[in-house]
Parts: sequence; C-alpha cells; structure tokens
Amino acid sequence: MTRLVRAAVGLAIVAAACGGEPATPPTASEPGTTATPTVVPATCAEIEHPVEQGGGHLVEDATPPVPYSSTPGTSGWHAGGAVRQGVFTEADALLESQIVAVLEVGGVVAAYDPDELDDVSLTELVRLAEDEYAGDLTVTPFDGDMGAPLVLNAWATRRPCTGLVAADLAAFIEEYAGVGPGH
Amino acid sequence: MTDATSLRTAPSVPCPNVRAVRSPPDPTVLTRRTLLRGVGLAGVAAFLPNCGGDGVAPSPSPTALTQQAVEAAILGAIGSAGVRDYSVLVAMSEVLTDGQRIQFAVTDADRALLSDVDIDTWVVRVNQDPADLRAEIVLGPVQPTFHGEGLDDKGVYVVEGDLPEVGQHEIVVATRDGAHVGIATINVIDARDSDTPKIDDRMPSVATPTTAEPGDGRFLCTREVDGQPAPCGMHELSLADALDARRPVVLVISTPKYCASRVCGPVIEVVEAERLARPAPDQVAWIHVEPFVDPTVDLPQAVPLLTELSLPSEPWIFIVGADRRVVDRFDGPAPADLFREALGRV
Repeated sequence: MTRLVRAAVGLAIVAAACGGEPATPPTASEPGTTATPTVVPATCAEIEHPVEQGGGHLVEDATPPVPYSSTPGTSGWHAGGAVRQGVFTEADALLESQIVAVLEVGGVVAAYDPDELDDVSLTELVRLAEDEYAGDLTVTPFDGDMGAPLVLNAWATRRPCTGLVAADLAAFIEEYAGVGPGH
Repeated sequence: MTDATSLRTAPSVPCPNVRAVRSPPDPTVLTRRTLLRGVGLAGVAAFLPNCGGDGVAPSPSPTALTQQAVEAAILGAIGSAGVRDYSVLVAMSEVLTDGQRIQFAVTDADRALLSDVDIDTWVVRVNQDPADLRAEIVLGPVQPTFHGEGLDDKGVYVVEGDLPEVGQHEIVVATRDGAHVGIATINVIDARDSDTPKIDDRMPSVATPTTAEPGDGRFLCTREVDGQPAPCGMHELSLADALDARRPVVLVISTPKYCASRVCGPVIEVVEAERLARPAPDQVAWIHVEPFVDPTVDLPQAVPLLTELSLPSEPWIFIVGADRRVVDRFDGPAPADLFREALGRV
C-alpha cells in the first residue's frame, strides 16, 4: 500500500476515533492502475497477556538469556540504568530491553513498524505522547515482526492494532499505565 | 504491509504463549486430557489459523505452532491435567549444567507472588522436531523450598540438581493437586563455556573503587534509606587488596537505587545486614561495587570489574575463600538464609 493510501487510512481512523461520522473514503490511485482502494478504519485486536517472565538487569546491550514471550517483549530481562521515556525515532529507537524497562516502571509503549504504520496515526500518536499522555506513553519504532503495524504494550500485556484507535489507546492507558512491578 | 483489510473475524482461541490473566482459563487448552483426546500436532495446526480472536490475527508461524504443541507435550510428560495459569519468574542469567541452585518466583493468575503453595518442579527437555515431538523429564519432580528472608514480600523457590544437557529447557511447576501449572524457558549452558567465575574457580584480582580511591567518586554507592543517600560500609577495601591479603571476601555487585525489580530484591540490604551482625574484628572483607560507570544514563557503561568477570547482568554476589576460590555465588536475588549458610563455609 502506498504512503498516500496509508495516510488516507489514517485520516479515516482519526475521524472515527474522534466520534464524528466516518470520513468519506478518499480515493487514491496506484501508479498504472485505476482501482479505488477500500479504506477500512483501523481496529485493535483483543488485549493479550503474554506469559510473564522473570529477569534482572542486563549489562549494556547484552541479549537476554532466553527469548521474550512476545515481540516486543513485555516482561523479563531489561536494560539497566536510567529508563528512557518519550518519543523516539528510527535514529534513536528503543532496544527491546529498553522497552521492557519502560514497561517495568509502569509506562505504556506504543511500538510501531515504521514501514507499516500510516503517517496520520504516527503524527497523532506523537502528539498524544507529548501532550495528554506525557509521562505515561512512550512511542518508538520497532525493528521486528510484531504481527501488526502498531502494538500497545504494558507489563505482560499487549494489544495489536492496524493503526491508531484513539479510544482504544485511551482505555489501554487508563487500565495499564502505572501497573509495572517497579524497577 | 499489514493493512486493515487483513483483519479476520475468528472465534477467540488462546494463542500460543499467550494466556488470559483475568479471564477464567479454558480448561480444554493445554491439558493432558486434551493431549490424550488426540489433539496433537494436526489438531493444533487446525485451530491455530483462528488464533487471535476478533482482532488482528497473527500469521501462524512454525515457531507458534511448535510452542502450542510443546506445552501440551510438557504437560503430558509431567502427567498434569492442570491449566497454565501460573507464571514462573526466573531471574538467573546463567543456569549451568553442574549442580547449583535454580531460583525462581511463582505468581498466580492475578500476578500475586506465591509463597505458601505446595508445588512440585520439573526441568523438561523438549525435542522440538515436529515429526518427533517429545518432552523428556531431566529433573524432578522435586519439591522446591521457599526462601523469603530479607527479600521483603518477594522471595524465591529454590531447587538444586544436575542438568545433563545444554540448551533450552523448560522449568515447570505444578500444584500438588495438579490444578495449576506454570512454565518458563531456561537456557542451560555448560559450566566450562561460562567465563563467569563459578564455584571453585579462582577469583580474578581486580582493583575496585574505595572511599580512599573512589575514581570519579560520583557513584561509589547508590544505597538509600528513606530516600536519603546512605552509603553502605563495604567500600573500604579494593577486591585486589583483599585477595592479596588472603582474606575471605564477600563481593556484591548491585546498584541498589536502580535495582528493585520483580524478583531482584534488596540484595545490598541482605548483605549489609549480615555484615553488621558479625562480631568485630571480622576477617571477611566486604566489598560492594556499583556495576555502572553512571547509572543515571540509559544503557550505561559497565565498570571494568563486570568485564573482567564476564557478567552479562546484575546483581551478583560472590563469596570467596581465603584461597581465592569461589565458595558460592548468587545470580540475582539472594535470600538471607541461603547467603548466611554460604558465608558459613568460608
């Protein structure tokens, strides 16, 4: 799907999430085609609870001794030292062990596939992380097969989404922000 | 790209490696009874495509398929018809083939740490060849002992035993009535392949920071009491000096202000309490080393001692005899009673 179409999907997502009438699906054409893509609002799957894992602090960028029980990991071995929270880009994306460290202190991490998540969803996610959910929500690209363009993560908890669904994000933060086991 | 059109509506089926915590678990999943009904690999493969419930359906992968089958095989091996609703939290970075303590915490479906349940423990080796899936018990059943002294409300269960093979194993706990089961993966390594000092190994001589020679001095000790800096009393001697003096050594590597995780526990408090309880003069040299050059930054650089000891994690405690041989070591949490017992051997 082209970025143009992904942006259109995102517009529909945000419009729907804001409670208004669903936006009229915009049209876009792939080069060399005349097809009109069907724009479907983003949705989130059910909340999952990967197996909770134990673990201490990893030294520097050491890899955990066992694989995480989900991708990205939501519990278990995590990075030592200060916990980075906020908004990150591909240039400074959190390592998986750093994501788990954020979850351990009760943060919610929206991990996204930069090649899959639509631009409008990403822009809105960043705004929310810097505004309404500052201190609770961390946004980072993730280089791994998450099975969805966007995954909301809390300690031993995850919710895959096709894009940003503002109401589902709000509910996830309401339920899970601050529930990590400490650091 | 995965787009919205890839969503599938499907019956809600628990995913491999994923369990519902707050919903009553489906007793038909992952039980020996299920296994005996003949839901083997073919059966698992049949329902996996619907995994994921009403939302995004992850693409079934060979790994996911194997995981579901592995769990069924494990439960079959230990003869349990229980439901996997416990979590086993292993906080050791090195599980060795040679006999040693294996420490783990256990939580229930509400994620409450358990301390008073009668459980048996197995270590299971799984042949994950889909054509010959087998789970072999290599240790157990063993009744673990619970040790919570000095660990506040955390505490760990402990089992000991030789593990004959290297590689991925599963540590399995089940209540005596077989109703509740927890499984966690451990990676067993050959003791000869570990560069970290092991029991009977000679402790390397490494100069460590002291109050007299603190290096940059900023993070000599991050211990706090009631939120106020309260450096411990274990910074008077360098490890190298203590070993050269042929004194027994307790070496604790931890960053107390930055380490109070799920089962990590207040390691420094366990050690400091034992130190203060001993009559003076004490022949034992007590040495605390902060593991990071600057723990206030992300992915902090390890201090040279960690590199010398090849430590991939923290916290650690080493108890070293006057002959410089390691008497015991604690990888992760250190229950006070076990630490005291080990200290009695120097």
